Amino acid sequence: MRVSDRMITSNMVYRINRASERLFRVQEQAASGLRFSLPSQDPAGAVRAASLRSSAAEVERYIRNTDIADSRLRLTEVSVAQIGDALRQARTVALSGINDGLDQTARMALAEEIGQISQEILLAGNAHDGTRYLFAGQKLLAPPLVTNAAPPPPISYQGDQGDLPLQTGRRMTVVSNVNAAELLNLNSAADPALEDVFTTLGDLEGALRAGDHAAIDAAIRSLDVHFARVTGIRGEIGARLQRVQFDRSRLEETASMCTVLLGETEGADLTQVIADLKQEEVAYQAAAAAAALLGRASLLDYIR
Amino acid sequence: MSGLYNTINIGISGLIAHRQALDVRAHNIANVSTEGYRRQEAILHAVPGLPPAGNMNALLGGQWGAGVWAATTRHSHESFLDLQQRITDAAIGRWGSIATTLKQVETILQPTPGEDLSAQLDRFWNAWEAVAAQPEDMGARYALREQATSLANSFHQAELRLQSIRTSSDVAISGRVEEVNRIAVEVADLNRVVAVAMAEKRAPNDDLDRRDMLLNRLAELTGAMPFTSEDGNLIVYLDGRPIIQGSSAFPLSFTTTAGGVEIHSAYDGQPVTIGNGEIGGLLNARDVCVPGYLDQLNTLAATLIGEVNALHQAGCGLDNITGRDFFVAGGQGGTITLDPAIEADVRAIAAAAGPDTPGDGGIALQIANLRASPVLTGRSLNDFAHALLGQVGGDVQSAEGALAAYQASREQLNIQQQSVSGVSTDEELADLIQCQRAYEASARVIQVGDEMLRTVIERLGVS
Repeated sequence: MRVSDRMITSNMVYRINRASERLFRVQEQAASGLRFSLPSQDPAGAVRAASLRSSAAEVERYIRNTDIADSRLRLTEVSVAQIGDALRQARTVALSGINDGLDQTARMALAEEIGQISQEILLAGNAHDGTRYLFAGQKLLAPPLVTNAAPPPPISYQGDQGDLPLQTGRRMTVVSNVNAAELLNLNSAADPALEDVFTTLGDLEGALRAGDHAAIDAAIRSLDVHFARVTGIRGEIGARLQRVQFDRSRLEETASMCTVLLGETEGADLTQVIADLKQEEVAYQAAAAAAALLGRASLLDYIR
Repeated sequence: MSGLYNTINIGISGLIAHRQALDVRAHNIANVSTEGYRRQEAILHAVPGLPPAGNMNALLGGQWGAGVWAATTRHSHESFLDLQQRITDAAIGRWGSIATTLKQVETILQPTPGEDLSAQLDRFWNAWEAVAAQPEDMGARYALREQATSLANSFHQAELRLQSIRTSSDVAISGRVEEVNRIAVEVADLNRVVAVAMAEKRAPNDDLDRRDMLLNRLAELTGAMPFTSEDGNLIVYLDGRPIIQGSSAFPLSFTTTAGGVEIHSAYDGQPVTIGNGEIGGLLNARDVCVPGYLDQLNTLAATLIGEVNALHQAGCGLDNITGRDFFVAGGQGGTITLDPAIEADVRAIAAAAGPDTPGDGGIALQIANLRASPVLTGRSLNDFAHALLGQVGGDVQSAEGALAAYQASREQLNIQQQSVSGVSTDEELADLIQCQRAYEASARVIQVGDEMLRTVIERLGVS
């Protein structure tokens, strides 16, 4: 083949351009740590990476939700535990009130104690985390338990029975609250056959003052039912907390899987990239050296 | 007649012919870097001989040569490569324009890796999920309003920038149409010059080179191929109408209309369709590719707005007002805004299903769950956005692939053409030396003739 000067130059330029283009691509990979930075460099990979990023964002949000559920349920559990303890204490007080040997003053003191326990439960039922009342259902901006101006019942419930569900996965929700109506059987929300906790305690207080053993007995039976319900709800909260923990570790696993897959999809294998970089650099230098060699040689050097 | 003067004349013919041949070589060397230049060669012919002296019968005996003359200059040129080159050039022009335009689309849809519409959508859904988790929390609502505004802006910006690609394509097209017209006029002029030279039996090599180069560029711009008519006229047709016909040029005119630039022929005033070359590629990108992406983008935006609004309408804000939209579409210039009530107060965001339940995030949850709902031709909005990105990426990839393939084959054709018609300085130098030596030798012949003549004059004169 006849070789002309422009052939040498244009081929030289073409080869060097190709070599430096490849070198540039590998340098870009090494600098960004990404196998591709534009969808056109790997359309299928880009779609996969975008989907994985969407999944990662979704999972990240669900993890935040488990955090919220966790803190809410823990706060709720503390208050429910307080209420349970208060009920147990009320029962002890009531039992000591059945003693025939008690004089009027002692019974009054016991009645006083029951009144305080009632106040404790009222406070625990109006527990909040700063802005949200934990036991108010969805009407969580106002205290759910308000002293009734015209009893009975002694306390009226201002909240509702709405749930506060939190998503911890697609179409997977955990209810992050318990409402006071069900907890304390206000408006007989949990047990139609039974009055609410405050009425029971009010009755007990009255019975203690009056020394009415039959009424104290009746109150103790009611307290037992209340206590069983509160304990049951406490157990349920514990179970939900466990589920939230389980969901959280599942989500974290998914999140790290997303990260791994994303890395595999769009991350550059650095060892490979550095090897490629070296190879492309050598290829480029070879092209440049060949160009320099060809460019130098000429018949002009040999004729005088 | 043959005599001593003849010897000198032969020497002179050698001097002249080799100086001319040397000039041709010098011309080659001078044009070693000229684009489109093809190597020329002086064709030396022996001057037909005369009968031997004293024998006027040309049929008898050998003929005595009368020297040399540079008959013509030959143009080394493989014209069958020209057509292939032009076909490749047209394809390079077309795919180059398409690839450049599509790469702009790609950067519009994904300014940086991981930062595209679907990422915006992800954040939008997450903001709704945050409101669903804590609907009474003003912070979550502010964050949602911020994110929704940002999403709406992204859609609007993407649409604006896609539209602006169309506008800048129009500028590029009109510039190239002007270039086509300049080429048409110059080729028509060259046609006239070439025709005159041919009639005078001259070889207008350099004009032919220039014309071929212009025709290459014309093919790269429009895909139009020249051919030579029976009467020797060079004609170039574009969409069935001549733009060059011998020494006449029929320039294209372009007018800007609402739909973009339209191109008309000066030949019959009819609109011209250009499907190939740079102009064809630009037109294709402007009229087919970009509108296709715009359509999909608009479908995505419209579905998002429709779905979110339908759910939001059913919901109830913290202010207990129901039946409000979330997004307001179709403002001036395709802007998407938020409902004025939401712009004024984030409590208007309807997260709850009913009034007086600040803790109810049921509606917000339904909107957040749109992320996975197959609301757009069986796909979720995110999947649709991912697919759009993948489609643009695939389109760019295939355009660049086609471009690279044609460039490689252009390089091969170029090598073949150069191998035939390119200038090699080594070759020229070798020939140069040969010419120089021949020139020296011819001078020597004259000297010898002169000495012989002197011998005759001096020796024969005094005896």
